[in-house]
Amino acid sequence: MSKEKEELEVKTRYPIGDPIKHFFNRIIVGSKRFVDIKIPAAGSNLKSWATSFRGGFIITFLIILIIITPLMNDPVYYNTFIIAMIFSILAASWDILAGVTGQVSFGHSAFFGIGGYIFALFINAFGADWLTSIFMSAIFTVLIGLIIAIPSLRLKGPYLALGTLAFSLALYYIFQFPELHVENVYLPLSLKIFWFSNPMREFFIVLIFMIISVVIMLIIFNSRLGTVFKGIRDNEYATEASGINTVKYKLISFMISSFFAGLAGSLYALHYGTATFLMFENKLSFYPVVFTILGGIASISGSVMGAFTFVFLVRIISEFFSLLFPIELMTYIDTFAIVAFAIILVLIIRFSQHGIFEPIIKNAKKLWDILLGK
Amino acid sequence: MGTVLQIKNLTKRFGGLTAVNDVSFEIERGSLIGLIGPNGAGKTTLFNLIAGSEKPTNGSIWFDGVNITKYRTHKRVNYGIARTFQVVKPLRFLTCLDNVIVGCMSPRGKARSENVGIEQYASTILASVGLIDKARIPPIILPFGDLKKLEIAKALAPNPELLLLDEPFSGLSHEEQTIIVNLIKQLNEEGYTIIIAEHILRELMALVPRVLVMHQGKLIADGPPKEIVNIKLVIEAYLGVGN
Repeated sequence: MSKEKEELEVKTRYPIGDPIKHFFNRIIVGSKRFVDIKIPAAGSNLKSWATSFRGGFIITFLIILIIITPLMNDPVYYNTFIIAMIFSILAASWDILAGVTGQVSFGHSAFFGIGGYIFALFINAFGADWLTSIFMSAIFTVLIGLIIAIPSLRLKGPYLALGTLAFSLALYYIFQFPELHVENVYLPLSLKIFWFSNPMREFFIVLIFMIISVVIMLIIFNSRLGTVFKGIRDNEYATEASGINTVKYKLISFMISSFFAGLAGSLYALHYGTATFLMFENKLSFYPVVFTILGGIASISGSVMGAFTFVFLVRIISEFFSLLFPIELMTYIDTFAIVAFAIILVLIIRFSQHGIFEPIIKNAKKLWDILLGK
Repeated sequence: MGTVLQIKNLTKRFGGLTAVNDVSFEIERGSLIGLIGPNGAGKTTLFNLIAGSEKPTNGSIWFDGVNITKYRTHKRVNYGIARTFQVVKPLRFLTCLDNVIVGCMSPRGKARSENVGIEQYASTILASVGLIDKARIPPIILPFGDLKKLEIAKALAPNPELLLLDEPFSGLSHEEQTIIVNLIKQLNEEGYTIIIAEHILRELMALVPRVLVMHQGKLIADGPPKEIVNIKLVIEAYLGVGN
């Protein structure tokens, strides 16, 4: 019977003996398969997303912003936009881990800060150029991030959230200890001149990074790898019972997430010209959570929209407030922002669990259909 | 042919409670076995032990001659054991097709589905349980009978040899039960070895040629249904010791 033949096939593919050959064989086959996982579903899915109403809406929105920005040529506007882009990479990276794979971490600032510091180190200590440093920092964030990721694989739910929070808190304090000689790193003047002499230069480079990062994460989201991640999120027990090594896939998710978080961190360090312990601050861990919930959890485009909305909203409101309130109160703007986040978060979770953009886009689509006379 | 599953002196204790007590039996390839016993007899714990969700306190499990006692669940699945859950566990926010694709993404499932393509293979599995028209629908809106079928489809996804079906008939109407019975018959004819844990006896006893009876963790009978119903111990287990 053909089943016997299949048995033989399966048995020769899973050699029980010779573990070393088996190990290398699996790395090679695994990496080939890893590519296969992402590519087939990718192309058509991306096209269908882009031509859908939702995709078109977002792309149009982005194109309009991209055209307006150089025309306005306002440094404050550039700054806000660049921060929004960096935070959207961070938010999307958190979403891959938490919204897609279900591993909710409250310590994403750890990867962010590690990325920033390694970037600055590469520039200062190794004299590398900014592009190499950005990639190396992302890669090393993944490697060093394994120290956080591997113990976190055993944690679930609130314990995972607290464990990751603990890691980021630890880093926050460690990087302040004078005894440990971990100093703030400052970027060289030549780099600053290149980077900041023309604001459009930074804007377009960060834009390219954001588009490439988000596209890669969207491809992963829509691929079969993404399906496995979502399976782990929906029911880890059942996914394991389907033959999936959930530990392996959770680790892959951590690695993808920390890669992009580190990338965002290096762009942030580049923008501010320094890497300090402040990059490990708690609020940077909570930002991606708020942005993603605002925009729709388990939706990469949602986390991008959430980041943009929030950053621009805070900027607009603080401009507004600075006219009304005296300067002394403005130093507390951060605290006000955090209080505001918390309230917004609770309201969203209560009234619009899937983010505010789903309803907005749905209503916009209705309007569009009406305009087109459907 | 040959022995596909061997259970040797399997014991599981939860503190003071012995859920599975020194159970031993062998299953031949291609057989269809019923596992019965009153509630609390240890059927689901036994399945958990075979599938890998629980570690035994004592004893060993051998699959196709390999000692799988220390293997994690996913590894056992890739050796060829798959199970359904008594309380169905669909992946709620994925489509039915995606639910099956997850199982096809296991190494064993991928190996089997490589030639035809994963989506095609997953569609075939859905078609064989009768859910193909619900392929793009998420399980949250499906009726219970369809969820039971989806459980079986998910178990078939990683191309197993041995299927452990935990209460596949419970909660279904008579017509739905008949559909599942026919599905099980068909799968057994295709070569799957199937163990069914149930306490809806009418359908089960008519279906399987061999029955294992558990009571309070122990295996108290092993034989064809006609003989089993006459054994005093079995009657006592279900009806209690009386006059």
